Amino acid sequence: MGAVLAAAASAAEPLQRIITPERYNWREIAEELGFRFHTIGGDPYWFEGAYYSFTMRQIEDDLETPSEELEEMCFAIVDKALQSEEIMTRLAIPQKHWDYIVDSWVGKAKNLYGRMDFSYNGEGPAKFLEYNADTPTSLYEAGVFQWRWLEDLQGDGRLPASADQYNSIHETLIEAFQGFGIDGLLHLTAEAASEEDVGTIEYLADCAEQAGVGTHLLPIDTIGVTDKGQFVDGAEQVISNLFKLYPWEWMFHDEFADNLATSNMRVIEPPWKAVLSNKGLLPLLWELAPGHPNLLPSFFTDAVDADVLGDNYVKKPIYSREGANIEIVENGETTMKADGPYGEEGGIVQALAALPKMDGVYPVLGNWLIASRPAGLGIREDDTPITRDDARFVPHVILD
Amino acid sequence: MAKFKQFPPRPPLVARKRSGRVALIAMGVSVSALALTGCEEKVDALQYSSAEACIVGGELSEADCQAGFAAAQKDHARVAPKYQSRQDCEAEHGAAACQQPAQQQQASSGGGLWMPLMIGYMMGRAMSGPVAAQPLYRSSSAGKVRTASGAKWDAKAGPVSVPKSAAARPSAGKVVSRSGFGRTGGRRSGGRSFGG
Repeated sequence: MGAVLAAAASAAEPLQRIITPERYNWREIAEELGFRFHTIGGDPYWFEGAYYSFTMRQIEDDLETPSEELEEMCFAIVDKALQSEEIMTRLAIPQKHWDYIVDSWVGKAKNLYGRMDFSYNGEGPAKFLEYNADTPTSLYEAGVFQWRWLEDLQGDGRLPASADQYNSIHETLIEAFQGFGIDGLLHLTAEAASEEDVGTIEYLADCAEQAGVGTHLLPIDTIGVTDKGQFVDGAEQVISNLFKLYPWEWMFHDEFADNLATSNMRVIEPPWKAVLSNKGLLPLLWELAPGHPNLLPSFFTDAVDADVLGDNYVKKPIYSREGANIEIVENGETTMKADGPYGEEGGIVQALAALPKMDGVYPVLGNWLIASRPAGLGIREDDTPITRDDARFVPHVILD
Repeated sequence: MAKFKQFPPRPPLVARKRSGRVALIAMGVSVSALALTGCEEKVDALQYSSAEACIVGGELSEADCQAGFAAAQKDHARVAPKYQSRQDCEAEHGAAACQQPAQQQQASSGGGLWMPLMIGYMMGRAMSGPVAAQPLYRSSSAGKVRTASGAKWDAKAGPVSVPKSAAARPSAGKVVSRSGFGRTGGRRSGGRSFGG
C-alpha cells in the first residue's frame, strides 16, 4: 500500500548541477563554429565545467508547457493593452507610435523569437521573472554550441546515448524563417560595437539563408532614409525587411522613428513586441491571472504602496536590460542593488523568487520560444542573485 | 485565452527533444546572396554583357540597347554592393571581380570601400516596363550573375526570366539622412550587449 502511494505521488527532484571536466579543445571548436564571444573582456562567457541535469518531466511539465501557456496569456495582454490608452500610457510607449503598433498587431505581423526567464529549483513551479520578447541574446550558444557540447560528450561516452536536451532552437528557427514569406533580402542590424549582438545576428542570418532567404548585415547607425521615406543600407539598397537587435523603446526615441510607419519596411520583431518587452507586462499578467502558479505577484510601483509585497521584493524599472537598475529587498532591507541608466519611465515591484543557489552560483533559466512555440533552454549563472551581463552560459542535459 | 495564435500548434512531442542536425553555412560572412524561391512571380527581361552584345542579339533596337546600357552604367557606382575589404568583395563576387570606386582611389590610399565590377546589364523590352535597366555583377556561384540587391540567375546572354522583385530599380529615392537609428542605445547602454 505504501509503495503504491509513493509511486503515485509526483516525485519532485531538485535541479542538479554536475561538475564535469571541460572538453580539452572546446575553444578550437568554438572558433571553428564562429563562436567568437566565448570569452568577453578576458572573462569566460561559455562555461562547461558544470552542466545542469533535468528529467524529461521537469522539462515538459515545469518549463515547456507553462511557457506555452504564458505566451498565450501574453497575447491576451497585447490585445488588451492595444485597446487601452491607460495601459499604453503606463507602459511608457510614446503615443505617436500607437497606431503603428496596433497596425502590426491587427495585420498579424509575425514574430520570430523571445526568451522567458525563470527561477526554478526543480521542486516547485518555475517562476516567471521576465520576458525578453524583443531583443534576446544567448541564442547561438543555446541552439548550436550547447547542442554540439552534448554531441561531443556522448561521443566520448561521458554522457549516455539516451541523454537528451531541450533544444530544437536551430531547426525551429529555420522553419520559422521558411514560414515568414520574406520577399527579397532580409537585412539584419545590430550595434556594431557589441560582438555578442553581432554574433547573434550572424547566427540568425545563417538560419535565414538555410531557409532560402537572402541576407545582408549592417551596423544600425549606417541605415539611411531617402527623400521618399524609404530606409536604405550603406549601398543605397532599399531595406524591405529588417531584423533589428535593437529595442523598440530605443527605436521610438531615435531620430528616424517618425519614418517607421510610412516606410513600408517590415520589422522583426514586429512593433507589437514593444508591449511584451516591457516589465509592465508582469503586473498586467498578474492582474489577468492572479495566483497563477508560474507568476509572481507584481504591481506597478505607482499603483500600490511599495510594502504591499511585505519585506521581500524586487524593484525593476519598466525598461531595463542586463539586470541594470534592479534592486532586491529582503527582510525590509536592500541586499542587492545594480547600477544603471534606467528608471525614468517608472517601474514595478515583483515578489522575490530568489534564484536557487547551486555550488555558490545562481542559475536563471531562459526558455526560448521560436515563432511563439517552446523550442529550448539556455541557462546563465551569475555569482550574484541578479543576473548581469557578465553571467556565464552553462549547458544542460535531460537524463531520466 | 488568446485571440489568435500566430502559428499552428506544434506537432506531437517526439522522443528526441533536440535538433537532429545543426549545421552552419556562413557564420561570419558579412554579405550573402539572395536565394531564389520557386514560387515567386517571374517577369521577362533581357541581359547582355554590353550594348554591342545587345545590338548583335537583335532583340532590341540599337537605340534601346544603348539607352539601357547607359542607364545601368549610370546607376552602377551608386547601387553596387559595397564591402569593407577586397577580401569580402571577392568572397561574394569571385577573384579579380572587384575594384574601389574611382573617386575613392584618388582620395585615399588603402582602406575604403570595395565594389564589384559591372559585367553586364539587364533591361526590359520597354524602358517603362516592369524591368528597370540595371547593372549586373558576377556572383560567387559559377555561371550565375547577380543584381545589386543579390538576386541570381544564369549568366546567359539574351532573354531571361527573373523574379519580379528583382526587376525593380535598386533604389528609388535620394538618401537625405543617415545615422538616425542607434543613438538612444549608444547613450544608455553600458553593457556589452544591447540585447539582453
